[in-house]
Amino acid sequence: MIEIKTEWTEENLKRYIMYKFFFSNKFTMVFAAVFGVCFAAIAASCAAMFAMTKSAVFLILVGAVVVLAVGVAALFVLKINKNVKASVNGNSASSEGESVILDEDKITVCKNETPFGEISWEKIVSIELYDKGKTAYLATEEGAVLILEYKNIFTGTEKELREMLLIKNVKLSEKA
Amino acid sequence: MLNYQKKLEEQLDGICSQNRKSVLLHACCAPCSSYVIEYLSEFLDITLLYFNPNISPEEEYRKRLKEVERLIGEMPLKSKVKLLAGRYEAKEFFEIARGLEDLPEGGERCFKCYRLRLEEAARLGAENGFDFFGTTLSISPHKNAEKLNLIGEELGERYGIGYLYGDFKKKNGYKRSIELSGIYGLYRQNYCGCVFSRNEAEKTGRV
Repeated sequence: MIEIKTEWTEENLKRYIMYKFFFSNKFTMVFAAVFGVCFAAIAASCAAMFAMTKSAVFLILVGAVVVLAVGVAALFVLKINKNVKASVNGNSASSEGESVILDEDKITVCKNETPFGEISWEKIVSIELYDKGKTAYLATEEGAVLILEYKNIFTGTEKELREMLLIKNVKLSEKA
Repeated sequence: MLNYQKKLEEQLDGICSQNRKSVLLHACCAPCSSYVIEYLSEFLDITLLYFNPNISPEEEYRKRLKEVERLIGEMPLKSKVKLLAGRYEAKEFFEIARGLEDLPEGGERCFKCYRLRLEEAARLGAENGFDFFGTTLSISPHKNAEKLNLIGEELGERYGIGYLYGDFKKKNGYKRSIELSGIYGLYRQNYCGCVFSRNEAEKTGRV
């Protein structure tokens, strides 16, 4: 049996989003890399053309490409921050004092150490262990995400938690 | 992805119990071997091949080997399991890992390591007249069972020996291996074996 505090903070939500976007989805990782390379190639080509021709048009183009790339990145970061802040503000009051107890049969959701709900393992549709971030993410079929940071374990150990989740993940993959 | 557990069951169904077949089973460590030998010893005569030049440092290699020896000595099985300790030449692993040192675990370096170890099992299995060769590696959720089985299939054809399919983590295999590790007090490592996996585990505080 593992008991672990669950909470949504700006920090762990941002880490979750970065993990989903960059680490767990190879396609978006590759896409972002290709995108970056394309921008860099265009900017470099325009800079080379400016160097050869001394035409201000190419200088303007370099500037425009750089501003565009920075703008896209900034928009992305701002959007994430906005969504994270909204999620945290919407949930912080209700998620305070929440923890879950994971055992063989079910996940019991507790508020201030008092059980108030259960989630069957059957309802968990994905289990991801992000060891670098020392966090596990459990997604339910309703789209909710349980963020389990190893540092928040009350009862049990990180090793026990990882083992339990690995076993459950094997079962999940058998169903798929 | 194919269901390799099902493929294994079909293979085992085809094996006549009157005339037991033999398997040279590559073993990575005692915890992984525990469930696999418990399961397969019902059907096959097993010789474990401990060939893991990836394990670093050498004392870790020897420690895991000792645990495998202890396990097969203590575990009651339908038929006695033999152990063949392969050579330990770390440079064999570093040669295949050259240029792939910075890859995270589970990538191309790991696939080459699977091949290195499985090929030795296939070669020795064929030379010594085993009916099959296989590996315990697929019991780990961290290992790519599909890749293991594809490599095994290919090596089986090349060396002319049957390849025993496996996805031993299924049907509660991984869970059972943890239970057996507890029962026999087996040493359970926190990293796969090579220096690169050890470095990764150190970064995440597992070692």
